[in-house]
Parts: sequence; C-alpha cells; structure tokens
Amino acid sequence: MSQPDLMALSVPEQTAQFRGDQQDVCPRCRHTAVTRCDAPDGSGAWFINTCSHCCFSWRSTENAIRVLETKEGTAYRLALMNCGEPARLTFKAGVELPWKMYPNHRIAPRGSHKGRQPPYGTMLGAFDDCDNSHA
Amino acid sequence: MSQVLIVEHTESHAAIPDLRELLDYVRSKGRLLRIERAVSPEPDVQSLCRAASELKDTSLLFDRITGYQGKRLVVNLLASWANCALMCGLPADLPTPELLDVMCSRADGQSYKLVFVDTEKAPSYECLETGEIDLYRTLPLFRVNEHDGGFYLHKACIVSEDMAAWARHNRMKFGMYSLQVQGRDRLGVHLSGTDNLSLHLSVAEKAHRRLPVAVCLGVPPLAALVASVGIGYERTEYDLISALYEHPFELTRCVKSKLSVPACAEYVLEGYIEPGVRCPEGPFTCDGGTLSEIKRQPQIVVTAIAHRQDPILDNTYVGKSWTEHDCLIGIASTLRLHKQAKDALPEIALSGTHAEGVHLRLGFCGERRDRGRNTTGMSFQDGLLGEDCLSVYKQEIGAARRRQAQCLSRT
Repeated sequence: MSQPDLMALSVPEQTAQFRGDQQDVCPRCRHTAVTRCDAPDGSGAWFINTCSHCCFSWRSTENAIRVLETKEGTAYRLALMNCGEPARLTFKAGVELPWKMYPNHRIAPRGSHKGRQPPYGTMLGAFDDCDNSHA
Repeated sequence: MSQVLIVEHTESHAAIPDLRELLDYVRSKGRLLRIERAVSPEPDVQSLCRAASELKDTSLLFDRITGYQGKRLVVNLLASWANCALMCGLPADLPTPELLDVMCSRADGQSYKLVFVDTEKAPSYECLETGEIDLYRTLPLFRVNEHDGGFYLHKACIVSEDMAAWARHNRMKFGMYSLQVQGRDRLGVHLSGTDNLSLHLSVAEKAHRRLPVAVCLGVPPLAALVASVGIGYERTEYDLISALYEHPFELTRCVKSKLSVPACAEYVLEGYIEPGVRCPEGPFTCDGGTLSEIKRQPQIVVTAIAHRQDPILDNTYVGKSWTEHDCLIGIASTLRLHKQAKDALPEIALSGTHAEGVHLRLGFCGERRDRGRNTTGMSFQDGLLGEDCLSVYKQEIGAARRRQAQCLSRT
C-alpha cells in the first residue's frame, strides 16, 4: 500500500502553487471565468490570462496583483493644455485610486470589507451587474 | 552648412508609401532606435516606451520580444515633427509651419481615383487565417501602462460603412480608435458616441444587423495621420490620403465583407460588431496621464486575420506627453480646420500650429491688407472647432475690414 506523500512543499513549490492558484482567479473582479493562452512560439515563457467576466487580462510574468495593490505611484497630468512641465501627482493606489479610477461604479466604502477584503484592492462588486455571458 | 540645407530643402520628393519603407528611411536618418536584444513584454517594452517618451523625437523598433518569435513592434514612429516631415518626403529639419503649409496645399491639390488591388496580390493578404483565431498569438501585445485593464492597441484604424447607404462608396469611413484585446477573437473598442463608427453601429443596431468592420494595423503612415482627422461625413478618408500622397492610394477588398482596406497594411483583422452587446472596456491611461473610466462598449468579434510576411505591429505609447497622438492630432486638426475654414471663408490664406501643443493659429488675408501691418494670430484650442469657432473668424475678419475701411477713409 502506498504511503501518502506527507513531505511539505518547499518554498519555491509553495510559491509556484500559490501563483498557479492565483492565475485562475481574476485579480480585479475575483471571478473564476479565466481563460489561458500560451506564448505563440511554444517556449512557455509566459501565458496570458483573460477574465471573460470583466475582460481584464494579464500576463503570467507580471505581478497582476500589483495592478491594483500598488501602494504608491506617480501620475503625471498636464495641469492645463500647453502649460509646459507636467504637474506631478502622487496617489495611494490601494486606498485612493479605485475611487478616482472608477467613480461611476459601485465601490465598497473604505473599511466595509474589513476582515473579508482580499488584498487585491477594493474592486469587489464593481462588475456584479456585468452581463458578459455571450463571451 | 547652409548650402547643404538649401539642397535638402529643394529635395522634396514623394511621400513614403509604406510603413516598412518609412522605417528604413527613418533609421537611415538616425531617428529610430532599434532594440535587437531580447526583451520581455512587461516590464521591458513598457519601461522602454516610457523612457523613450521622456526623450523627445525617439522612436523604438523591437526586433526580439520574448514569446513572439519573428514578430516586430514599432512604437512612437510619428512622435516627432521631424519624422512627420520625413513621412511626407520632406527634410527632417523643416520648420513645423512650413510642414503644415505643405500638407494643407497637398490636401487642396489634385484628387486621384482610387486603385483596387486583387486580394490575392495585396501585401496585406500574404498570410490569411480564417480558422481558429487567436489574437494573443498573432499580435505582439504589451501592457502600455501599469494600470491599464488589458493590452491596448492605440493606433488601430477601423473601416466601417453606413449600412443605410451601402451603395455609396463615400460612406465608408476610416478612423483611428483605441482597442482592448479582450479574448482570443474579441476586441473591445473605445467609442465616444459621436464618431463615425458609433453612427454606423447605431444604424446597424436599428436594423438588428451585425456591423462588418475591418481593423487595420500598421497602415501606411499618411493613412494613420488621416485616420485621426475628422474630415466630415460626406467625404471619404481615402481620397484625402491619395491627395496627400499625390498619387492614387491602393486598396484591396476584404474576404469576409465588402469593405476596402489599405493594400499595404501590416495586419487586417476582419470581423463584425454584434448588435446590442456591450462589454466592460477600460481603464486605459489617456494622453494627459489620467485613467479612463470602465465603460460598457461594443465588442468586435474577429473572424479572419490577414497579415504580411514577418509583420510589424505599429503601436503608440500614451500616458505621458509628448506622444505620437500629439503630433497626429496637431497636424490632423490643422488639416481639418484649414479645410473647414477655407470652405466657409475663402479669405483664409494661412494656417499653422504651435509646436508645443495643439493650439492653432490662423492668419487672414483681410488683416494682411490692413495697411501693411503684420498678420496678428489667433489661438484656439482644438476643442473649439465648429460653428462657434467659424463665427469668431467671421467677426475677426469683419473687424479687420472695418479697420481697413477706417484707415482708407482717413487717407
């Protein structure tokens, strides 16, 4: 009778498994309707995931979670047209950016997801009313 | 040095007819940075594009992108006035007002009859895929900006036609739009609601019919310029392209529809828009660095892909000025305003654009005749075009004429 494999996974294996699990979930809407496409040259260098629910897509080599979890970043915006040097604005993406990015969507207020909020930003519910069943 | 410049200025030859020829020409002039080492789509391509946008007049050609063997990508090809001048067959150091004058004079010049090439002989249709469509494998995509919702094509030219006037050739429109790749055979299209494609789609949706479209990528450079011009609904962009090239523009027929596309485009994606279907599109980083909203937009279903051998994808980096869109919009707005104003007011003799923005400046014959005084310029923002703007011109010309009459009465 074969013995179950009770050996703990190594750290790289755990990381790989974690990353593999994450590829199946859309980091933006947390939907599992994710399709995968491999690199065209068959090298396995990367693959592209696409969420058919909210149409978000990301490549396996980029840290898709950071797309919404980036703590701080820099945005450049011309204060007025033809004004020369661009004004530099800073933002905190995980806290402030969703409200600025998606003002017309239902975004849960800050803190309302306490205890059950995933570390992927505050996009829960933003795409609940999307009917993309034809895709 | 001055003699060399004089010789160069007299060497005005025909516009470059092809994207590949322009790449070779621009590279021979030292205005294209070729990156031959292998780079990853993210973050290498993204970072290099952002760095190139910091350096004005820098265009990039990527030869080896990891995972996309044999596919090349060019970014920001027309992001400088010098490259725009080279595109028109003019010297790179030509001052911008003179470049615009040449463009306007060509636009007003002779009209040419369009030439149709057989689909089998057209370079665009050297390779044709009609079976399993996979845009992720066909196009060398990259995330243009970090917070974009997907892989965007910001220089996609879409051909569509008014289904209510299908028999009229001039109801076929050719415009530039931003597309988001949303699946193996799906493209989300960013529509403003007032563009030609929106109008065509509304006509098709009223009839509950699919709207055939053809997405052209890597079109001839002057075609990309004209695609960003709003030249009016009664004219077709292909005629203006022929006028700017000063020879007939070559087109070919699509295999899945009756649409006409440039015969030398690098990629042609044929498909249709399903009536009544809207999908989330966005966000993407706009020209000013701000993010667009996520909106429900129409979706193009791709049914056939045609491309040249070893195709080159022409894309542009947006998000941080100075970008290719600034150059395209600057020239395109001048062409549009020149035509619009000239039709309404024959007195207008000169048009030009300010090199640091899309502000436009017009000079008037009426003021030139004002006792030899210098022409006084007027500045308008691009968004002020239209009837209101023309009324301002009329008031200005009227005031100049009154001043002229007063001066004459005093003498």
